[in-house]
Order: sequence, then structure tokens, then C-alpha cells
Amino acid sequence: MTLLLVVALPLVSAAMIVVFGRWLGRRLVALAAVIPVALAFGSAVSIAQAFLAGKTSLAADLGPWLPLHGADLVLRVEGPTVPVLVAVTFIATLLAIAAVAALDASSRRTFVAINLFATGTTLIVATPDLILILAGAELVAAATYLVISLRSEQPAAAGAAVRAFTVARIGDACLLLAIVTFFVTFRTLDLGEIAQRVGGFSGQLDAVARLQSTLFVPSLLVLVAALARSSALPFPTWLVHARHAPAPASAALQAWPAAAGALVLMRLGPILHPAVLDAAVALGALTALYAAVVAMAQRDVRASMAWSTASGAGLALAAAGARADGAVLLLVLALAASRPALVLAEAAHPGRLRSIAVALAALSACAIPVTAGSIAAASLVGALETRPLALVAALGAIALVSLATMRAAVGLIRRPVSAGTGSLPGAGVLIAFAVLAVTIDGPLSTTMHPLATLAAVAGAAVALALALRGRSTPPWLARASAGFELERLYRLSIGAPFHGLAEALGRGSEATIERAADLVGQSVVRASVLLRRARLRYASADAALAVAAIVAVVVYWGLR
Amino acid sequence: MRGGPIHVDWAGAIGASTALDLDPLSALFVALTGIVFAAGALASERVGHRRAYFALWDLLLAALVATFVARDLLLFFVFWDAALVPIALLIWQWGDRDRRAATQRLLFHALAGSALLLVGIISLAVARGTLDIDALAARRVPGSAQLFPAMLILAGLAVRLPVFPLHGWLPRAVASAPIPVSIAIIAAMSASAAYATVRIPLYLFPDGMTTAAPLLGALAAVGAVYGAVVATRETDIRRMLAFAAMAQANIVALGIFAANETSLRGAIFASVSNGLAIAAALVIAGAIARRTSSFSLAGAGGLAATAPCLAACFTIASFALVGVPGTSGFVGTLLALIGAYERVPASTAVASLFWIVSAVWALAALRRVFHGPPLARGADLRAIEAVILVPILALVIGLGVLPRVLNDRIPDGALPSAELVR
Repeated sequence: MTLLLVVALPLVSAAMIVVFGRWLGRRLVALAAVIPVALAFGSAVSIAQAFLAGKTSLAADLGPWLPLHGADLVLRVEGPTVPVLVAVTFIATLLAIAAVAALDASSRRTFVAINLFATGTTLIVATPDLILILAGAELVAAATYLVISLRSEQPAAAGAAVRAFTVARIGDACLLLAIVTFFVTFRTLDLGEIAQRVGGFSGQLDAVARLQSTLFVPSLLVLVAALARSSALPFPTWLVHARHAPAPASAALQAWPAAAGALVLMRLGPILHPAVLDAAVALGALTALYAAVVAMAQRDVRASMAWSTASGAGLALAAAGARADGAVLLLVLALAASRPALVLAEAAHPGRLRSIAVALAALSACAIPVTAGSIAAASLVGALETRPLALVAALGAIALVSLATMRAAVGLIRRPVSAGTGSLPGAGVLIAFAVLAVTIDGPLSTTMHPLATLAAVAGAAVALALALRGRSTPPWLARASAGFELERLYRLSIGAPFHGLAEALGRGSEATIERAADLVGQSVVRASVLLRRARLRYASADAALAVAAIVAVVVYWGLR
Repeated sequence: MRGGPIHVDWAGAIGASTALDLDPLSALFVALTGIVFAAGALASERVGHRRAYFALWDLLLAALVATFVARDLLLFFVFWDAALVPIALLIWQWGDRDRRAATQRLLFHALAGSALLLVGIISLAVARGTLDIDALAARRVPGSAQLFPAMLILAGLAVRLPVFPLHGWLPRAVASAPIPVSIAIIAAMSASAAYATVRIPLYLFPDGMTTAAPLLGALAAVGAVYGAVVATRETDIRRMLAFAAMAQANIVALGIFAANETSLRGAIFASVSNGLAIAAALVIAGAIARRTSSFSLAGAGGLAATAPCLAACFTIASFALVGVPGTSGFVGTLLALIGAYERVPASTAVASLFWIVSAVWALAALRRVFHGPPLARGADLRAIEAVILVPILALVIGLGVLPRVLNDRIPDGALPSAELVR
């Protein structure tokens, strides 16, 4: 029951705001947004306490949903996923409070988006039903659209919202097809059952080979879905378009959606083909490197944050491909805690409090030792030790992201604020985030991996040196600031032909169909005119009757 | 008071009788028709010559409901074509500009299909001596001879589903007809075609339908993607919704042609969902037109600022047409695709493109009308619009979250899936 509350309460809150938001005043909407998700956090904490006291798994069964085997409304958590539930609900509560502190006309959509993010992410981690995983991913996509379309008076941003949802939809369609294939092969939609059946073959070699070939296509589809979700290569990054949105919404977008792809890959990992998982590692590491390079070239703090988050999402994807579930969770949590802090700080009132918060969050985002970020980076690098190329790419990404983040942080601390809000809840949330960023992956521990630490510290040191010397982005790097024009490439290669096709079909084939119908109609009319003339000429209707009788007899004989 | 099936001999020489029965499947569709027609009647506020209008409206309702309960092929055919009369008159007299051409096309397509349907029915009467559906099902035509009559009858029904490429009448009809009549056309007529396709060709000629399943499945898959693609370029909101409904109807057709338990359940669910969602969406289109004085997407913009409830309603309705989880459209599309994959895997893969493309038209419309730069102002939901929209959308979401409510009402034996029958 408490598990159900954790997942469902934010959804209920979102629904209430959508339906009744018009009639509740601003304060009531704020209450409706914060209280359910805080209650969900409370339920998550109580679940965590139960697990600490010795429980090993918790399930909530709401009964059958679809008339297919395994498609029940079931939620199930085991030990490792409980911290995720606690963290997701806590961060959602913090973001909701931050949104309350920055109430404006578009707050309703922000609240709905934050709550949908919370529900979607908890659903992805907490259910063994494949369809519900898809549902969670779709909820996150819908919330992504809501956030990117906020303040979308600029037409570029508005089109970007549609594109982001379309990319997410491509991923979901692939996931849907994969689920359909899994169902047809295994006759069940329960992840646990499928994993058991896949693992049960591990003894017999030829059975394994046969099974792997059946698993290849759905695994490929799941990979495409995870890539699209995390906006990894080869899909264009939609994260950067959220920078026009108000701070809490933009922070929410950076916390969760990019992680959704890695989480989906992590959950479905046991039933995927190993070659596909290797491809995931490669693509994830490559995305991390690419996004890190582009992050370095940004001049706007928020854009730089967005690209760094994309890089982090790529690292999480690589960890999921390497089947290092622990590393995935650590990375996702560190990402979710440190990035929103920096985004919120960008819009907050200047002062010592803000500088401290920015410093803490930046340390964690740069994966400097003794912070959560470093623990996450260490476990990732440990998982990638057997794959040298991916390891190099990941280290490069860590270093470059560290560089970009430190530069952004120094810029934040130095410059005067543009439009601060300076409210108490806002500052409180900022400090909470900053502390979270350092401690979320466990108490201050000294788990380090030498390579990861070296990369992170090197990047941060270079950034500090550059900042102190007052150097700005070198021109050869500035060309990368638009993501190497990947998005324009997509718009030209996919977007433009699609719209051209739609136009051609709409005008061309519709006209052709109408003309065909007209042609048939005209020939019928002409035939009837001919018949009338023939009848008048022979002045008897018997010919027509004879023709009809012949037709009936032919049909009868044909059917006998 | 529950009456049993009615069976009165009528024209024994040709095997026709007055046979009526209400089984779970037809009851479901009658309920859908009732809801949709109630919504349409409430939305007919500003029509002139109200008595004539509502008389024709009720005649249409009577004809459509009769097609759901008729158990005799001739009786079915009589009401099937009788429904065309009120629709043609309603569009001819109460429509927008271009109504004459739209009515002509509608009648031409429908009557051409009905001619083939009639030939099929007559051949059955001659070959088997009876036109009662249950009697025909008890003594089926031998398997190899089933394809031809199945295709004849299907041709008549497919025009109104509408299956690609027989959909040419739909966009113009919806663009010219008044909103309630468009609701009746897309929601109720399409549902009656879907029901009839399950009840007649699938029930009487399962082997013939199975033989033709690959080709039919391919047509349906192409139609679904085609409808979604063309919907993205339409600037008239009614035409856009017409193509979107056509795409969803082709998914229904895919589920029916695949003809196994899951896909049939999905097809029926999707048909119900399509009817409800398109009714809501068309009412909202009418509401937008009232606020911006045109049906063009270019005239509206930024309406969410002044009409947030309307925006929320349109979001839910378009999400149901697109298949976002949480709405009934998702359940229907999912079940239809899962079931269809076993029979026609390639077509199902193509049909999943529908899922991607439909997001484009839905979000583009949402953005252009509600979320973009403010070009128009309009009041929020009025009382009568709320009365129509809220129950329908609540039903859409309720069915999406608890599809059991619908699925349990269709017992396993009520569906003529090809496996059961063979």
C-alpha cells in the first residue's frame, strides 16, 4: 500500500492540478502540488526503514489490468531500488517547493511536470510489468513536452518541444515493438518471468544461441528506445531547449528525463542480447564525450549545464550497458542532485549562501573526491575497466565536464545576478540540494578510483586556471557550440523530407483518390446514359431484365 | 425486463426474417452510439430549422442502432443504407460551403460499396436459402469458397470504416458537415462499420478472411500511417481530426483483420475509444471555432492563457487519439498491435510508425492552438461544453486506467476469433 502511495500520489496531484487548477487559488495549487509529493516521500522513507529492518522485497498488486498474461497493475521493489524511490520523491518535493517560491503564470504547468516526472521515474524502477515501464516512460515524455513548451513564445522553442516529444515517441514506439516481440516469444509481460526464462538457459549452449538470436531484434529496439530517451547519439539533444523555461522547471528537466533512458536499459538489461549491451556502452561513452566537448564551447550557463547533463546521461547509459546496476543508480542520483542545484542557483539571489551552494554542487558535478559525484564516477570507471576504448572516452568526458562545470560555477559565483528572487524557501531548497549533492551517494566516504579522480581534478584545475587568467572560449571551439550542427542535420534529413512527404501525400494522393472516384462515377453515369439510349432505341425494358437475370444466374453458378 | 432474441419470419421465399438480438458486443456499441449522439445533440445549439434537424438526427440514430441489433442480413442492409438518407440530408442542408460536393462524394462511395454488399447478400441468399446470421454461421460455406463472398461484403463495409484507400469521402464530408453530424459520421458510422465487419465477414467467412489477412493487414497498416502523416499537414482542424480518426480506424481494421482474441478485443476497445475521443475533439474544435471564428489552425494561438480547461480537455482528447498511456486509446492500440503481430508481423511493424507520427500532429495542433504566442483570446469552457466534455473525457481516462470495465463485459465466447471457430 505504501508502495502504491509512493508512485501514485504525485500522479494524483498532477491530475488534481490539471482538472481543478482553474478554480483553486495560487496558494491551494501550490499546496496541492507539494503535499502529495511530500507524503510520497514520507511513504518512501517508511519503506526504506522497513527494508533496513530486514525486509527484502515489497510488492503491491492492484489486480489485472489488460487481458494479457503478466500485464497486471503490479509494483515491486527490492533492496537496491529503494534508495532511488526515496531520492526521487525527496528531490521532487524540493523542486516543488522551489517552484512555489517562484510562483508565476506558468506555475501550474511546472507543478504538473514535476509531479509527472516523479511518477514516471518511480514507475520505471518499481514495476515488473513491461507495459507499466512503457507507461512511465511516456509520462516522462509528456512532462518533457510541458517543460520545453513553457515560455515558448519564441517559435524556435515551440518547435523544439514538438521535436523532443517526437524523439521520445520514436523511442517509445521501439519499446512498444520490443514489448510486443517479447510477449509473442515468451507469452508473458512480466519482467521477472522473462528474466528467469532467459537466465534458465544458461547451461545449454545451443539453446542459448537460439535464444540469443530471438532476442537480438527486440534488444536492438530497446537500445534505440533508451538512446532516444536519453537523447544520446544518434538522436539530437533536446535538453538544451529547456533553457528558456523558468528555473524550477528547467531544473526538473535536467534531473530526471535524461536518466530515464539509462533506467529503462538497466531494468531490461537481464533480458537483452549481450552484443546490444556492448553497443550501448560504446554509444553511451561516445555521447558523453561529444556532449562534454559541446558543453565546453557554451557561453550560456544554462546551456552549458544542459550539455553537461546530457554527458552525464551518456555515462549512465554506458554503465547500464555494462550491467553495472549500482553504478547506474549512483550516477543517476548524483546527476539528479547536483544539476538542479546549479540551475536553481543561476536564478537565485546573490550572496554568500548562494556561493557556498554553488561551490558544493559544482564540486559534486565535477566528481571531485569526497562528493557523491566522485563515488559515482569511481564506480563507473571501475565497471568500464575491461573496455579500454569506452574507458578512455568516459575519462575524457569526466574531465571535460569537470572543466565546463567548474568554469560555469566560477562564472556564477563571480557575476552579479540578473533577476534574483531571494525568498527564504528558495534559499533553503538551494542549500538542501547542495548538501544532497555531496551526500546523496552515502556518507562522506573516501571511495576513489585513481583514474577518475585524476580526470576530474585535472579538468577542474584547468578551468580554474582559465578563469583566473580571464581567458574565454577559443574560436576553434566556439564552432562546436551548436552541438556540431547535429540538430540542423536532423531537421534537414528527417524533418524536411517528412513534411515534404506529408505535403505530397496530402495534396497529391488525396487529389488522385478523388479523381479516381470521379472517374468511376463519371463512367457509371456514362454507362447509364448508354443504357438509356439503348433501351429507348430498342424500346423494351426486357433487355435490361434479361441482363439482370443473366448476372444473377452467373453469380449463383459461381457460388455453387 | 430482458427480452430474448426476436425472430419473426418475414419473406420466407428469400429466407429473410426479422431477427433482432442484443448480445454483449452489440450492447457495447449501442451504448457508445448513445453517448456520442447525446454529445452531438447537446452540441447542436445554433442550428436552424430545429425540428427537421432533430427529426433527421433521431432517424439516423434509429438506423444506426438497428444495424447493431439486426441478425438478418437483409434487415441489416436495409438499415445500413437507410442511415445514408439522414446523413446526406443533414450535410446537404445544414453544411458549410462545399456541402453539395461533399454529399455527392459521400453518397457515391457509400452506395458503390452498398451495391457490392447487396450482391454478396443476394448470392448468399441464393446459395444458402436463408439470410439469418446465426443460421448461416451454423452451416458455413466450404472454406475454399469463402474468399469471394467475404471480399464482396467487406468491400461494402470497408468504405465506411474507412479503410485506405476507400476513404476519399471522409475529409470533405467532415469539413463541410456541421460538427454534430461529423461526430455522427466518424464516431457512430465508423463504429457500426467495425461492428459489422466483426459480425458478418469474420463470423461467416473466417477462412476467407484468414486467407486475405496479409493483404488486408497491409492495407490497414498503410492506412494508419497515411492518415497520421496527412493529418500533420492539415490546417483546417476538422480535416486534421478526420485524418486522425481515419488513422485510428485503420488500427481498428488491423485488429479485426488479424482476427485473434487479443487483437479483436483491442480493435473493439480502440473503436470505442476512437468514438469517444473524436466526439470530444470535434466538440472542442467547434468551441475553438466559436472563439476564433474559423476552423483554421492559423487563426488560433495561445488560447491556454485564457482557456486552460479547454486546453486540458483538448490535451486529453488528442492524447486518446494518439495512444498515450493512461487513456483508452493506448489500451486499444496496444492490444490490437500485440494481437496483430502474431498474424501479420510486418504490417504491425509498419503500424507502429503510426504511433510516432500521430504524436506530431497532436502536439503541433496543441502547440499552435493553445501554447504558442497569443494570437487569440477566448473564454474558457462554458457550462454546456463542460457538460458534454467532462463525462466523455472522464470515461476515456477511466477506460484507460481500468480497461477491465469494458473487457469483462465481453465474455470470451462472444468474439468470433478465427481460432475458436476453426
